Amino acid sequence: MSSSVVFIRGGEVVGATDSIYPKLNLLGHAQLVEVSVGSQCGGHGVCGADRIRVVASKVGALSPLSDVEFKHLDENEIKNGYRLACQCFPEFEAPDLVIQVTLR
Amino acid sequence: MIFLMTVLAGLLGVESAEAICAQPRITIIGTNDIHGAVEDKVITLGKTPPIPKNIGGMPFFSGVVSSIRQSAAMNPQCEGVILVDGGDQFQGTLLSNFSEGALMFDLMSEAGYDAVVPGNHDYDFGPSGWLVDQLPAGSRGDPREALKSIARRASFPLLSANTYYMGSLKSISGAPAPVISEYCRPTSSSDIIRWSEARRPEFLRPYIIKNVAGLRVAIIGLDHPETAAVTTRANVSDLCFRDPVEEFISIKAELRGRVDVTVVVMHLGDAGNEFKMTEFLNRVLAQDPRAVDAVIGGHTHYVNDVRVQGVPAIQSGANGEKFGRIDLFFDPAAGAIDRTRTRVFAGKFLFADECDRGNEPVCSSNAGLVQYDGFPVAASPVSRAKIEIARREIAPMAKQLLGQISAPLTRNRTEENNLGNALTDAVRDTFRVDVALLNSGGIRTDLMPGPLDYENFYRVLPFNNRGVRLKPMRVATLVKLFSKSIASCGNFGALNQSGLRVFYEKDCARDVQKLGVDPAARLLRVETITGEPLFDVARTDLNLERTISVVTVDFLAAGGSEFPEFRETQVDADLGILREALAQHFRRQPWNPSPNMDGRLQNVLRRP
Repeated sequence: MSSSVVFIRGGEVVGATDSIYPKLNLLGHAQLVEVSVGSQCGGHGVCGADRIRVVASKVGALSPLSDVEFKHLDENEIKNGYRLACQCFPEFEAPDLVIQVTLR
Repeated sequence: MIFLMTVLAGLLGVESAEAICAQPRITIIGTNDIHGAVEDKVITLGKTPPIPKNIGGMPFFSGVVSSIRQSAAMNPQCEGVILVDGGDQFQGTLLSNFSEGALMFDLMSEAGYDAVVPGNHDYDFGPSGWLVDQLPAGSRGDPREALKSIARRASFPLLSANTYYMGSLKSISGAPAPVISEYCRPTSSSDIIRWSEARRPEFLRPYIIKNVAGLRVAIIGLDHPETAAVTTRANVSDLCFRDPVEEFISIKAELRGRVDVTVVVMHLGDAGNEFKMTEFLNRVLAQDPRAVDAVIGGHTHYVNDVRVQGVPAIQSGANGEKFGRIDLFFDPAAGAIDRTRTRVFAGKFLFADECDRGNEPVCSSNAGLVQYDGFPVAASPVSRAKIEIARREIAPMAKQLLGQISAPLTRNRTEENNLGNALTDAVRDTFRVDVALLNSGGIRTDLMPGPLDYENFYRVLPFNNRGVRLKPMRVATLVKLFSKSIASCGNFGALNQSGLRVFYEKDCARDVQKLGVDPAARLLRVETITGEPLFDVARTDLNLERTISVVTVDFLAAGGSEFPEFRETQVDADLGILREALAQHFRRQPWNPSPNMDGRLQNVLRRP
């Protein structure tokens, strides 16, 4: 099985990448499969509009929360796996790594 | 066993063909815009998740044609095959461009093409020499030597009925009639051209007539009337390209009573918001409903499957991935094609080990072995060998490592894209200027993750466009350029840029006329990457006369890609072929571009 970032909206898979790219943020992964995550400021973390929820991953597979994310997300959101797609990078690529993300 | 099955299938084919021989069949196989994609390759289809598929390449396509021909040859009185191409055969890959198209034409000769239309990019190579695409100013020589020399070795003719020497056009009075290249339009509106005396270039023929299954089939070639605008203009500066409909009508008059079936092959097609192939068909059928029986188009890289009054016009994408097929059945009693029986297979993938969806009536596969018309496909060993030899020749250059791509870099004609960002960043970095600008049409393929070698990089920038440093550009000019660029909804390619942040409003839903432009798009703000404002729609205190340093390509500097505003700023220095300059830079400093977009082209309009 190959690695993939899978995007889910309303319970349906709306896009799945054919691999995971550690230098590409999750916004970029979504753009690869033409899925909109609601980004409004071009990936600078200014507006916080590209809020996504990571529902399945592996420990250490994603970059730690950045200062910008702490600014935009409240404690409850952080506990529930919310991230900003432009701030969140896969840390490594492994053959069976699947990162599942739900979108609004 | 396979052999026995083949023979059996062939025999069955004969029986069924005899049953329908009351109506002879003409199979037209059409390709277009192969752009030098000669080799087999893997592409991915779909998004959830993408599935890899094997594409056959030219040796496999030769095999497909051979299978269809073998089937038809079982009953030559009743079935025949025509193989044609709608233009732009070789511009695009190092393998193809290194021999300036010779390899491509050799492979097409091997496949047995009957005729091909040049298309605009066949004029790109100019004089001989693979890195020389234009005669130096003031020098003598033949600006079409590269194309002519490969045309001489091809086993098929190049067709273009509407290509003329401008200098040969005369008005009714016999005086020379000055025209512009586009549509051969007279500069004086009162001039009427005496077309019977106009001359076409010697390496082109207007049409051929081929005997197929006992029928006289005319194949007429037509080029894009705006060819000069989409190749190196200097290479066709003495040529003009007449309106395809007018030309077709006069050729048809010449052919009256001499042909049974008429096929048009044209480097003209339909796209999202332009319908030049359909318009052609509408206009010629309005004049005479029996004027044409099938059209193979090209140029736009789209797949199209059009029917007007039962006459098919097709296009099959680009880059050697797909092909098209039209089966026409001739009704001898009516003396015409029986349009109710026409079968069309437009834009079918050339999968090496399976049939594309919709191709089932003519294609079957079993355990990876593909058959067309009941005959198994065997890739041409001769074509394979030719490609191997060519590959050995380019190997030392092709494999030079230029960098590393960490995630897919992809193109977009109308919005910010990470490939456009990466390339313009590289240009700005190489030449140390404020701003780098590239046209999206010049960026020809996406880059996949992995080591980047020269050959892959070549595919991205295959045109030998030259980098140019402009004299200091006024901000006012920059504002004009971006006001236009940001409005594109697909009608033209937007500019890729590095060095600026551009904010705008665009809503392609406002493009109700489907012109490919948002008529109400607005440029709001332009600032440098350090945040210094250069233009703001809400401010009047900014100095639009201030200047910045810009590097771009000669094609844009000359006003190409529908950006005549570039001509407001003169060229200051020629920097050599842009791709070569970048490659040279990457050999010293390997390229490792960021795949993340940074919002340098930002549409701030949010639809509810």
